[in-house]
Amino acid sequence: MTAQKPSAGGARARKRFCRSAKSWMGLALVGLMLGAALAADWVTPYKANQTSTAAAGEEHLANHRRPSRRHWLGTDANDYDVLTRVIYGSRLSLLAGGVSILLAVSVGAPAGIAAGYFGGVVDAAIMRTIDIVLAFPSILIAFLVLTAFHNGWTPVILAVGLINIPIFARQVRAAIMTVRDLEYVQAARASGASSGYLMWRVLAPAAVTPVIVLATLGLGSAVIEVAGLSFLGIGGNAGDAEWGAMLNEAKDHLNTSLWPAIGPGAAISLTVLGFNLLGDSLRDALDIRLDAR
Amino acid sequence: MTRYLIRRLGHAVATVAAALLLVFLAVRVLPNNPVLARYGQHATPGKVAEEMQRHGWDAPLATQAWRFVKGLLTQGDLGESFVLNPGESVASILSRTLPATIELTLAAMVLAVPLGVSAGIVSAVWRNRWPDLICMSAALVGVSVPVFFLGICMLSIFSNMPTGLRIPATLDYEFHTGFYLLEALLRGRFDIFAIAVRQICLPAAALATIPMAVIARITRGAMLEVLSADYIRTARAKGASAWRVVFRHALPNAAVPIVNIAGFQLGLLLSGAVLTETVFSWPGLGREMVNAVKSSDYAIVQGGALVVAAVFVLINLVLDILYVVLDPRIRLS
Repeated sequence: MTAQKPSAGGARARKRFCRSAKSWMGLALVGLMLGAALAADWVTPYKANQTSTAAAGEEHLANHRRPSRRHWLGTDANDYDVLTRVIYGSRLSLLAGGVSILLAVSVGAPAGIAAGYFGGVVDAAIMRTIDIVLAFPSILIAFLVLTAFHNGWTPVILAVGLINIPIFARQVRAAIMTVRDLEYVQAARASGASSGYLMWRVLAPAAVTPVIVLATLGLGSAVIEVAGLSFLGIGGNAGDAEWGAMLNEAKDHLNTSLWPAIGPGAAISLTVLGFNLLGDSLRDALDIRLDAR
Repeated sequence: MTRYLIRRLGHAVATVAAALLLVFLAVRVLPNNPVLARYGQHATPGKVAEEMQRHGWDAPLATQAWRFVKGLLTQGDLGESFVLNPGESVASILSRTLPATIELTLAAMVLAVPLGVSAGIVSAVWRNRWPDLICMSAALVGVSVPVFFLGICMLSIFSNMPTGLRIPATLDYEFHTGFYLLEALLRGRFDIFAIAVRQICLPAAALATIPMAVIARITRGAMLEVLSADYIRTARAKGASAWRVVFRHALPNAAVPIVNIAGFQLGLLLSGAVLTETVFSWPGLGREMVNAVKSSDYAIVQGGALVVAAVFVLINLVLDILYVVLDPRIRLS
């Protein structure tokens, strides 16, 4: 964790970031997926829930078509074009992952700042709560949340957001602790700044860089977690064009064809790889040490 | 040391107790009703009320909590399944499924630790050269490919490999425990052992990828830090062989973070196993819990969550103690 204010060494960090091949590969992959999500309506030749039989005006219903010029990734058990669904799926997957990380940051960061600033009882209360949450493997927490609600995407987002809160709270607290007793903070305190001002304007900036890095890495794991829950069939909606749900459906037809699984599986892997590459190179460029846990 | 142990133990017990309370409340405040889940549209108001009363679910929360804790502490009673296997006690479900999960998890660790540590050492020794590049790229891909996709691909490629845990009836062998591998080995039934190994291969390999990748990355980092230390330069200057420097001087000093992350991953595998078990139809606790969540069988979710949380806390406790034993410099604060 750098003790300086984040602006110091910014140019050097940018240079380091631009020089690394990792960051460019990460940017390219993430950009590709974001582009697919935004442009889905224009780049897909079919609709998400349109059988290729209907699209071609054929009479005989066929499914599990092999990849061809018309269907680059083949068609699935319902004869939907896999590539089309993968592209549309990027919307749900990225959105669900993004919103849940946003949720985790907006709860975890203030909690971490409060714990680091107030210390004492507040710190103990917040950190012990987090210890309890961390005493569960994350998927169990998701199970508890999902048992409570019926299917749909909101519970999935809630669950994934919830399991990511401790990561941000811990890291933000650690960042605050390193700067809490530095001169610029003491100066602000001595000049009579209020608690709110100290927390949000003086201390919080120290936590911005680790949060950016963690959020980037977290987006990758959130995408996997969302897909995992819908793959298990305990979250989301089964028929939706979403990567995890698509894999779940493909799993039942493995004897017939692996193709319907390749598209969504590769999409998840590449998205996560992209966020991991980006997060790694951001971490290296900004020279941040993250807690291995 | 004793004081540290006692305090750490107290902390662990408190965490499990809090987890227990949390699970209990989470399962109780749910809007879903277990009776409705079981009887569906056949549920009449009278029947619902009767079932609720029979299970004591109409009592105030505090009373229910007290009964639950009392039953758990005095008889190890975790309630009984209501929807999935009506009437079977959760304790029996756990003893049926947990061993399969433990064996799978340990098998994955047996693969992940040696391979991950070796890859990390190779990367650190040949830093920024092609072995490093290959190992670290593989590690990055390893953490990025979701285990359920990997599992699906494995199933499709090795479609002749058996999945799930089944011993052919022709062998005429009855297991006395859920630990198939261990039991077969201890009883000297190597034919059964071979079958069990064959069946655990694929799921264990799929489950091992993420811990392997993470261990490789941590090992590399720890080794790089140690290899730049003064005493390593001294060892080299004395003329110690490269082999000796790496394995005698560097590796033991890099052990703390490696052991730490390996143990932590072991805990995580318990949850990773949920996905792997589902893909490979492995009859473990994870798959059972997924089914329980799907059918709103709260008692199983509750019991399973408790056991997994307790194991998780236990692993962390052992790790913290190991930490102090491995590195005397760590203050017992």
